[in-house]
Amino acid sequence: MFSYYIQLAIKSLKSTIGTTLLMVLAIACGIGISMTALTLNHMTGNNPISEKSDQLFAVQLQSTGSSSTWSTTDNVPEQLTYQDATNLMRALPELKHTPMYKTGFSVRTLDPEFAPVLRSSRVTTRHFFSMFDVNFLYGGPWSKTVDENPTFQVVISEELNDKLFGGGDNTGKEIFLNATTYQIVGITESWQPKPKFYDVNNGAFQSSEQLFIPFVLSSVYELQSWGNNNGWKEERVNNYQEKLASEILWTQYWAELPTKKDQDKFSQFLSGYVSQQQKLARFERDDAKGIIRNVQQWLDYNDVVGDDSYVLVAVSFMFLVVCLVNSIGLLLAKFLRNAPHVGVRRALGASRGQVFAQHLVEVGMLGLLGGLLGLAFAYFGLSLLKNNFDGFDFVASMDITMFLAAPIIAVSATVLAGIYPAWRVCTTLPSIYLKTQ
Amino acid sequence: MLVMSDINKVYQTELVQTHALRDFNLTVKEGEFIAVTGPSGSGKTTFLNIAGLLENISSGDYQLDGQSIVGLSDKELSRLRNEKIGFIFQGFNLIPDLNLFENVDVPLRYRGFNSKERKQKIEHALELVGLASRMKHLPSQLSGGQQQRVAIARALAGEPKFLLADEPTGNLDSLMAKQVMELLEKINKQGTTIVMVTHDAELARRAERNIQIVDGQLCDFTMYQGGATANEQEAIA
Amino acid sequence: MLHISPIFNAMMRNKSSVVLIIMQIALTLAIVSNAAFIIKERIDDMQRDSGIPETEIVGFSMYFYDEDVDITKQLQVDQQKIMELPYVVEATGINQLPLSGSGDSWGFRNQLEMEGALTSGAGVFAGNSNITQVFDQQITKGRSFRPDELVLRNSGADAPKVAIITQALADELFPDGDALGKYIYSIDLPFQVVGIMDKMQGPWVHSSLVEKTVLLPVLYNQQFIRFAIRVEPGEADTMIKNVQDILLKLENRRVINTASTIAEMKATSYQRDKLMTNMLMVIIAVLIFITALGIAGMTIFNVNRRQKQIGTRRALGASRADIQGYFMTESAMIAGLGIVLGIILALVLNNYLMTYFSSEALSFNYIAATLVGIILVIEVAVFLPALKASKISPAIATRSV
Repeated sequence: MFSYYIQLAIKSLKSTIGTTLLMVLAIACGIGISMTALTLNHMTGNNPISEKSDQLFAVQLQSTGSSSTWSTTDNVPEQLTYQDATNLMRALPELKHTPMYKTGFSVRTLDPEFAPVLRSSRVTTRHFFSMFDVNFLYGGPWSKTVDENPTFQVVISEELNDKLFGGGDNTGKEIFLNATTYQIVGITESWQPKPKFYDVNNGAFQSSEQLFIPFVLSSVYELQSWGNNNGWKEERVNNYQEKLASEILWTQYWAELPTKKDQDKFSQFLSGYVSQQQKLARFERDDAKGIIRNVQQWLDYNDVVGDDSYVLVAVSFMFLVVCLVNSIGLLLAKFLRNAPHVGVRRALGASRGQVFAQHLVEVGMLGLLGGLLGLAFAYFGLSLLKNNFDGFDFVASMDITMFLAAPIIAVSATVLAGIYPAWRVCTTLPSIYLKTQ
Repeated sequence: MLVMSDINKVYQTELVQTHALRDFNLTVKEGEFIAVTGPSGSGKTTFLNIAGLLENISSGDYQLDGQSIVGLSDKELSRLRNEKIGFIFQGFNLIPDLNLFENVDVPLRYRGFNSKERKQKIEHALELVGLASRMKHLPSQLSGGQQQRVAIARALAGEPKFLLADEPTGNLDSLMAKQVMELLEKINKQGTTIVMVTHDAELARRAERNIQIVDGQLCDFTMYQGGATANEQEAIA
Repeated sequence: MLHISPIFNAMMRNKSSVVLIIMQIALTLAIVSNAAFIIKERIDDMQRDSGIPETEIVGFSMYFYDEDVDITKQLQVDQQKIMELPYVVEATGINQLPLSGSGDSWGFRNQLEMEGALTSGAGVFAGNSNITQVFDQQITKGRSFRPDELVLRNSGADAPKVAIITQALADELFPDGDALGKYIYSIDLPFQVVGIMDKMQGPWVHSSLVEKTVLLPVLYNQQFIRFAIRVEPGEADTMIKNVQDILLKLENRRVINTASTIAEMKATSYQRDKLMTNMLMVIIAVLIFITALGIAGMTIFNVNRRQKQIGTRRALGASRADIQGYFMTESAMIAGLGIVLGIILALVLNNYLMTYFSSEALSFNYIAATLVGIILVIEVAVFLPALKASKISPAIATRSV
């Protein structure tokens, strides 16, 4: 019977080609625009490490002055001071947790002809790689010893390896970061989590760093943070050593806490640390506290998706509703005009349910056509975005969910919209239409 | 074949209540060819719609082929309509988007025959009305008489026991009307019961039995020759 | 001659399609008025005067990787070389670029004591003493920096003694309007306000600090530093093309990033707003188009369905204008109902946006303007079908089929 309904639907859609095109176009516009908005929203709302999202935790400390205000929803700064970061990293060695921040270097090989390139670098510990599932092409992270004793070792990314050496296993080779030589110990696979959840400081959709160096180098070697440096205390910071000892907030801190037990343990440790710092009168606030947030909570907390995105989704779905209401009107007109034929079918033995199903199949087909065209519209819209706005390469790309969502939303929305017209036509008494036309 | 007992049909609108059929009784035997006549507004159409299971009755009982239709669901009624009843309309009511083959196919689809059975039945029905050669044509390419023959083929394709015809020649010129009438008579001879509504007295006379509906009540000239006046008096009273 | 009541009765007999059109009009009104309002807000933001000649200023960042380079000295050498170019007006090494989205802000007070001080954050631009000329700033009160006020920040202890601030910051810290000559303090550093400029936006266009700007005569000894150059109008591209070669010839122990104009940086900073306005404009355009088509389609359908009725009316003496008027009136009545509902919906939507997305209260002007627009669109959409209806021959009434 279904195939018969499909044949009938094709005939019907063809016979009123003008109305059909108008409805397909209306649905396609609605789907196209709402899919564009939804894709932006969906991709910015992406959880790049969903499999470990509830095991990885961003660590925050309410370490600021009693009258300090922050733009975060709970008035707790996103970043830690250097001294807190180093204090935390020395504790709980049985758990993986690490401080980090972003800096940068001019990078060149030992070849004097090589024109230096400027690259950002992540300053962190060896745990970074296993915590965030960064895979290695060659070599691996630096050793525990290197994390404790300043050593000029570096992990570089596949991209930088290609740029510097044209690819290949170059572990063991040396490169210049600024004027210092570092030994390459590992080369990672290309790793570009979007959003860049572990550091949303300079924009959540920035590229990942291509260099990784040990955090302990910060203590012997002046490394400027390329992210936000937020001060709240009225203190003079004249040089790098003073910055390390200051209350300026500039490091990020992450912990991998796979079990509830680990999470409790870490939280307990944090509250202990906070009360110790309160006793030392370093943390001034009565509500000083440590907070951990898993990846999803952290992305929500930082409002990575943004208000605009939700407003656009809301407005575009209202727009879709208008397109559907428009289609309901046209469908109703079309179906009622065809009511005499329905009367004939009823007389010839079609049940109400069969007539209803026949019309819903037609509507569903309309939705499918509209959905596919809408998908094309959305694809076109997103490529326009990509071409006209910088940094939308990732965000303005449809993943498989979005590809499937477009026709599914289109078909279900139009079928929903078609229920009323189909119901109207199947409940009309057939006898009215059977006398003379 | 068809037994209507004490059927009442009342149309209710906000302002008026219309009694379309009142205490209507009719028995049609298998193989009969009955002509139903009556003035406009007498209840002919209502009778036809009820006989064809297109409208429900307000009260009374209607048995079709031994089965009471009172209380049946829409699905069951549709099934009965599909299996037992064939319709022929004054306006032919072919579906303009479908060609002849597809038009005749409609009731067979709802019956659930497989495609081989359907093809065979459609071809047979169209041969019967002499239009097998034009099965790919659209209704608009045919004359009125031909269209009505297609409608008859469609009505017969599912081999119903009972054919309901509503002014089948009303839109046709006399020559074509004659052809259609002959076709109906031929079908009746083959055993199909026919009830034909018409206001053409000449046409009605060709049927073996004539009944008249006046003000929603029945006057049967064949069987109750004398009773007609009595009924009419009752109606006046 | 308007027959309101028979039109209304006819409408009531055809409730569902009327309800659908009313819904469509109401939703259209609600969406369009709110979207137009958001667009206007964003465009206003984007068109704010930044106080600087955006297309004439070229900026770029560079990174000195060799610690042996004397950075503050090199910045002055670079400046001198660049200012020798015929198409360059002014140039300076600088810590940040306006409207670029990245830079420094400091907290300032109007007195040394923290207790009872007025405070405000401000974007801080640190450059050579010609910094006001580079950004083409008119000093409304006071004066520009003198060359001898420049501080080279080779050791941490030195700090400039003077500052030029924007009127917006002056108003914040000195509400009495007597900022000129007073001192402002950051941590324990005092700066005397020697000049007040009318307007110069800072690096973050979406920040509340954008209008609060401080200029300081100091060149930082920082590996990562920027440069700002004002060129003659139309010469920005030449400058962007040549600047890397020119500077690398002077000192090649540095990486110089691609230069761009402030106008280009501004475009990047506002790109989310641009995206929002573009999307909303597309939505509005398509929405109005679709609503118009839908209403035209329904009218055509109604006209076709009522052909005989129209013919009868014509036969009974209605003029063509009467028939056209009938359909125009009918659509106007439907539009009226849609509009009433639409205004309510628009306010509800705005309220939702205000509650959840810190949007502003919708000005009634937007509803009114949208309303007029929608009525026009509806009447235009109905005009042709109504005209067609008016041409239906009265003879149709006598035809039986």
